[in-house]
Amino acid sequence: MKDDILFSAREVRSLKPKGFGRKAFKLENISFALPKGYIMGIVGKNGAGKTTFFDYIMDDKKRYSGELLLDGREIHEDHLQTLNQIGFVSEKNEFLNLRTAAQNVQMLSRFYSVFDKDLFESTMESFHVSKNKTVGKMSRGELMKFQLAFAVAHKPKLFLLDEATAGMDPVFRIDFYRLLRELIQDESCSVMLSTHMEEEIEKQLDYVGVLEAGRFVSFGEVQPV
Amino acid sequence: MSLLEKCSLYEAGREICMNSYGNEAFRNRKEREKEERARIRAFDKDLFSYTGQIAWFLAGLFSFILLVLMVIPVQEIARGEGAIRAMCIMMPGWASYFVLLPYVNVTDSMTPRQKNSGTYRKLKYLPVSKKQYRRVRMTYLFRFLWKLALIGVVIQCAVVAADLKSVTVWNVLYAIGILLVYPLFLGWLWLFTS
Repeated sequence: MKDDILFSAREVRSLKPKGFGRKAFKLENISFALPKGYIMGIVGKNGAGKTTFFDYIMDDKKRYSGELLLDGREIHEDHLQTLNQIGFVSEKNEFLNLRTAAQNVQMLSRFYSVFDKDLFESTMESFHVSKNKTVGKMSRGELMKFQLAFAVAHKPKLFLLDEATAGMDPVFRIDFYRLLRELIQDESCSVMLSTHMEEEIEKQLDYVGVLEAGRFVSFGEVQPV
Repeated sequence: MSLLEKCSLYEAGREICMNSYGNEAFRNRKEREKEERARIRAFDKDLFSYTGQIAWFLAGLFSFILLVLMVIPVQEIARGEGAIRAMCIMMPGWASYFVLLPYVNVTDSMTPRQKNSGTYRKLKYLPVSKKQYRRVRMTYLFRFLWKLALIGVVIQCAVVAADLKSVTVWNVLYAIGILLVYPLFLGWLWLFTS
């Protein structure tokens, strides 16, 4: 593993479980390091804690022990700066549904310190999604593409993709991974994604972490078969 | 130079460094927060142009009713009917609700059962500080309410002066309480819980 670590987690453990009693769920023993210029996958069954782990990165209200470091700095030390450096793509990602993609960009891009509108438009064109389409009328796949174009345009250091490929057709999925490879080519950023798909794990990921009931049971490089 | 003098000189220099560094950090933070608020206000301007008109009309309507209520002196209300007192409790809540509504909620679909989402939910994963988001909204409410309170105080005092011939501090406090403090508190409560 390279020394140039972009994102690392060290013994992350939830301080407040989600739910009560026997159904209480918490993250435990999450430790890994993701170098710059690589794609890491988090895999696990439904309910294993993949989305919850992403919530711990994106939501500054979540309390944990241990360390989550982005580019050597604790992510909640200056959470706004952290959010500036993360491109998040998720089903939960909320946009203004009654507005077009272009209107969403016009309204929301101002919150980022950097946002390249030309890059957004060219990425949308390459995805064959109209920027004038209303977000609420987009299919799941189109919405993911729009979100990815939005994330790419603010030039983050870390892309967090929560089940991003789930609604995509197999042809686009190949293009999607090609785009991710292009993004990380200059080793200025990395990608962390959650997925269920075995094929993706073997062919597309560099590192993989396996989550089981909120615990990281293994983490390592993907070995070519 | 004695050791004592050296020490005091060192302490003084250290204090100056700490102060200038602290002031610099404080200034940077203030400037950053100011920029954040300017961005939120620009976002609100776009958001408001879309949903705000009906809410503003209703806010205006409830504020007008509140001003009409100011015609009744607080001394009369204390002795008078429960219905008026209930209106004095409800109306500021409605006025405050409709002033904030276009900024706190966004319509998500135009189906017959319209679905609304909190505006902050839309900004949750963006670099937007919730503290500044609330502060900007409280500023909108305050700007609306202080003018309303000023008119209310004038009406209440004028009516009391004409009717009862003596204006008490309670008349002023009543108008400020009903038209400024109480709706501000309700707005803050809504923003804090939403």
